[in-house]
Amino acid sequence: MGSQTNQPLGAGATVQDSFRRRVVGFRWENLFLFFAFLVMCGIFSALSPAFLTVQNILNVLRQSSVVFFLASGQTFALLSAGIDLSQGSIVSLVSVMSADVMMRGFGFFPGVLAGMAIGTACGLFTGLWVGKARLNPFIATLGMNYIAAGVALLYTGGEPISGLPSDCLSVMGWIGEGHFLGIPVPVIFAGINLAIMYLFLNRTRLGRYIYSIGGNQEAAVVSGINASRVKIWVYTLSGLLSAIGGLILTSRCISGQPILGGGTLLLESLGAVVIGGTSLFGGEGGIFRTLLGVMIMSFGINGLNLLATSTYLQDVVVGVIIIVSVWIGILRRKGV
Amino acid sequence: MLNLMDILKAPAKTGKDEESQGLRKRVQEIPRDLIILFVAFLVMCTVFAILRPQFLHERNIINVLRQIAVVFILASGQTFSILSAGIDLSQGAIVSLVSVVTADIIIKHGVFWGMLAGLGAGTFAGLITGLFVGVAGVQPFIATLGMIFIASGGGLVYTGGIAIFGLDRPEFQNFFFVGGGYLGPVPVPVIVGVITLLVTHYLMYRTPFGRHVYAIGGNERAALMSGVNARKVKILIYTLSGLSATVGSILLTSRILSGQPHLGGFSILMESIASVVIGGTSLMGGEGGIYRTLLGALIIGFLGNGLNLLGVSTFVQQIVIGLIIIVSVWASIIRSRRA
Repeated sequence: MGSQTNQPLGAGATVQDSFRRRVVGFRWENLFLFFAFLVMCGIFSALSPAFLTVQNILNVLRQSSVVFFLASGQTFALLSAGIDLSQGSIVSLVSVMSADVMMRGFGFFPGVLAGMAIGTACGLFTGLWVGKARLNPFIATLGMNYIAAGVALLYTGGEPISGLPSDCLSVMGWIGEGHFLGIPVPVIFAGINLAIMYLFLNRTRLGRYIYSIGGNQEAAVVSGINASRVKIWVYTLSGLLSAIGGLILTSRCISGQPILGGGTLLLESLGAVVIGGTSLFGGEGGIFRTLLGVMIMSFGINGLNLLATSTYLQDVVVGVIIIVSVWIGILRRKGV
Repeated sequence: MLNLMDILKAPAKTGKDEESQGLRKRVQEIPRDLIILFVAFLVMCTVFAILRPQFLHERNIINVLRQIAVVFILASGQTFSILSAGIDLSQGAIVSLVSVVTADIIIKHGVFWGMLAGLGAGTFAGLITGLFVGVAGVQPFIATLGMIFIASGGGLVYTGGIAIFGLDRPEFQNFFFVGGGYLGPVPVPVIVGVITLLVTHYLMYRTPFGRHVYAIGGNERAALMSGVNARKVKILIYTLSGLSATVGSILLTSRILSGQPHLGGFSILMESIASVVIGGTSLMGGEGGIYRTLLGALIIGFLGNGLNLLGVSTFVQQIVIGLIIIVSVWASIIRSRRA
């Protein structure tokens, strides 16, 4: 990336700049990381013959699609120089809401719609605090994290919702475990999401505005971008994407769990985006980096699993990868 | 209250007249929003006291203070990192790591060595984060995010994921004193909390280190140009933050008399950050202080206790805490816009 890293990508950035961001930045940053990813996969497949089988790869992709949805939303937030700490709780809330609607006999799709609606509403709520009230995103989403987690627990009294109607179960089973043309269904969803995210970030005005605000908010505002509206969009979309991730996860465990997103889900979402190289300062990064981050994390964990290392040790490895990948980025920028 | 007491005792050199003038000046210097927050805290306590008389019972207050002490100790370290425009996300994970190391070494080698090993492990974790932030230039958010995985994974690897019991044997009796004992009527953790407050006050307001923390948080480039060794200051900040998490962890471990690899986790970290933020210390750095953090910790602690006494479910309490975080910061934004 070299010299253009510190250059604000305001709306005033030339066509050439955005071209460099898209093509040159993509090639250098991602190729290096992609190479590291390939080396890692090479080592794992040499050590364990089970690693490079179709079955294993599809399985890992299926597992990682949930994190990819969350990480996509997180990418929006980070690109705009913000952050979304509420994703985990939104997953929990979506899980119990959609399961409850299904339990009441409304059917599968109304349940899905209810889940998406509540996730989007949470995101919109945070977005309004960030965009309109100018609250620091960290604070607004930290608050939302408490609120959504509390509502999810309150809604079910802390109990999981299980024993869903059989017509819902069959659809959920298909989403969670099924295949379409030999590819796991969640992976297809994730692929569609990838395409939409790419087009959205690179081909739409709102996508460019997100980069602009993250790169240099003052310049963006001066050149006429309505920053508060863009931020409202960012967190609303992050809420929606978390909701979709939550729905896939709910399908996989065929029940509504009030603490479904309480574990390391949020940390994995953040970690994936950061490993991919999207900057916490905003304005730099993209969806392919996030994809690569998700892949590195999930295939890394899978490979360590196949080598029968303890799952606890894997946490340590993920932590080291997060720090070192960012550190390497910094070293390269310094020109070491 | 401690804030006022501190202000009352601080200027003590000159004649009576000047002293009272200096006092008035210092009282006037207390930021308005801190006073408002303090009044809000008093109102909250009064409401709870009217609705539930046992809220003001000595035993209740002492109990709550004991719980608050641990959060406050963590939050005091967090205050340094947030003041420097950073953050320490790894405190919860360090609490878990220290808990298992302390418990294990106590059982193997005795109380003294166990506590020493715990202190060593937690402070070392903080030092590693500090080196990544200060020397390598990794953003605090990322370095400490990585440390969450490393420290909590390390704690789990250390015990194989199971809790360590056996601290309740008579030969380890001294250890329980740390977290569960009393000096007179005052629980030991509260005393440790007060000592933490004094040490933090000294570091923050009486040493070059403290001034440098504010300087880096306010404007890092300006601080660097005026000769502040940001590298050294940052290493010290995260080492201190790790140390504070360690002390909190030893108090908790002693109280539950077992080493728990999941002792820390997300919620204690969130309480630590929330205490700092509710007190009004800015996440952008450079503004705030330890007395704000104290007030934040008191508000969270007594609010939870009051709601408990009213029979409000812990689920609702989470929602209330979330709203308070958002609203308290919003209020300070509105005030600063008016000013």
